[in-house]
Amino acid sequence: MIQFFDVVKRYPQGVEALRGISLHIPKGGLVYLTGESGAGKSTFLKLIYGGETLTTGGLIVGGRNLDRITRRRLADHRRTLGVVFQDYKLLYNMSVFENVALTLEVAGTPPKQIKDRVMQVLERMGVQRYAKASPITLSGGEQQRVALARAIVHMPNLILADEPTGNLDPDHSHKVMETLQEQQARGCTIIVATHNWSLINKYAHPVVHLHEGKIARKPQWEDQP
Amino acid sequence: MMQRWAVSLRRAWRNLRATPISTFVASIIIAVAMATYALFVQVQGNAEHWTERLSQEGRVMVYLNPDLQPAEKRNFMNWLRSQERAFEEVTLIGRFEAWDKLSQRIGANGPELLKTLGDNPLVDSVAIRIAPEYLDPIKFRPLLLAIEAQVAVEGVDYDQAWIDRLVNLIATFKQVGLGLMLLVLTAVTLIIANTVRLTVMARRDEILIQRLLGAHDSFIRRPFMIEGVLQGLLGTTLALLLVLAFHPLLGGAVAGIAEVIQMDLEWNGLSATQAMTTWGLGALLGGIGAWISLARILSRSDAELASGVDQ
Repeated sequence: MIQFFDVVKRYPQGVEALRGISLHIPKGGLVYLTGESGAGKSTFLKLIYGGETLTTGGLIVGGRNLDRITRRRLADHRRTLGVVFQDYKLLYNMSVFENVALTLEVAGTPPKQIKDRVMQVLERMGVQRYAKASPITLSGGEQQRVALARAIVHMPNLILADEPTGNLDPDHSHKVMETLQEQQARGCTIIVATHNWSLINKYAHPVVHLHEGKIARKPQWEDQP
Repeated sequence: MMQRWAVSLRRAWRNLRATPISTFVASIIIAVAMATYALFVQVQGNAEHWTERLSQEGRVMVYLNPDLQPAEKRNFMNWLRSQERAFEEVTLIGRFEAWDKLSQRIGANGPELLKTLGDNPLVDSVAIRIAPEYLDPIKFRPLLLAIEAQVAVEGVDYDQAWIDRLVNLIATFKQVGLGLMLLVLTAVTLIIANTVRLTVMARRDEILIQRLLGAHDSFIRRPFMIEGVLQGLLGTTLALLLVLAFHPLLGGAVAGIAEVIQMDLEWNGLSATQAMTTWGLGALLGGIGAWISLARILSRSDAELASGVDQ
């Protein structure tokens, strides 16, 4: 599903965020991405959704070589992903419903299907009563759930979640993990960047630990011949 | 395809409603720009109309030799009519017809007064309306000499001051009109493009998020284009209402000037065609403004959009 080949990402100011990352994440896996702040977790996710370009090395996601991809193909690639951004990236001039519906509108889903599907997902995330409200009126935790709803509404092949439980209480954190596991159960690959070790301990999945831009700990399958 | 446009139209309408203040401000700026354009169209239209009217009043009177034989007169008339590019209208006025006209112009006592002159002293004459393009001194002078050189001609009468004034007026409009029109249109396009650009820049987060969700450029562009067109239409509607409101004021000003310079001038408003053209132009410029602004913003990388640097 995802293959990093000796990937280096150096920002224009000279900061080397990732230094020689080589990693394979199989289809249908749920992987935690851990590491201290500045370890390169966000850059790792950005490279996968094409928010940044790599400096050297190679990266293949879902059969697409992201190092040599046109703007149009990158847009097509992003439609197969669901991303929960650390800062949510919700649009405050739109309602919660419209924010979630945008993912389906982008994909050209018919309006009738959009309505049904969005309400279903909002209900699943427990935010259906805010459907007509602007996200700005919601708490951080509620916004996070809306962001997750937007990431899963189109049933993507790959979900990238950057600190998806950062602002949630334990109950809601568990709900989020259950939702992600449901997505995994239908064959979706999931990468969760997190600091939440209690969550990692409760929901056991492989961990990729980054330290100063390098992989300090790999999942077990990587060690197998 | 229809569904895509319906979605874009709905999104454009939602965006316009969601940002009423910026929509209003943008529409007002477009209205002022388009009102300037509409006013210029009016000024140019009226100037052309006045020039045309003045040129219709401009006639050269040619007095014929009283001893002229009918065949010579016919030849001269044929020569005048063969110069149809220079002479828009050629009218032969017989000496008796001229006498009757003079009598009528004098009034009730005309026939009595003219009787004191004895025989009709008038000669046959030809009234010639010169084509406007021949009122240029370089073309007009040789034309006059050519008429005077004809054996049938006794004398030529024309108002030199009037001709000069008209020639200057036409030359001014020819030289300044087109340049000014281009200048006004360029200024209006730049104002609209910058106004739309400000609204686009204010919504770069929306563009970035749509892009991160996998939107193609066309998906992002469509609602903005529709918004640009709608703002152009709204702004131009306000502009046309503004021009309509100021019509009596301009009409009064022109009437005042006409009285001072003793000319019969009137101020005409925009015709239905001109109003529709201005409306269409406003919509077009709104769309073009949105296209230009978006082309610049869509060419940026996600990182540039996220940093919000306006390059």
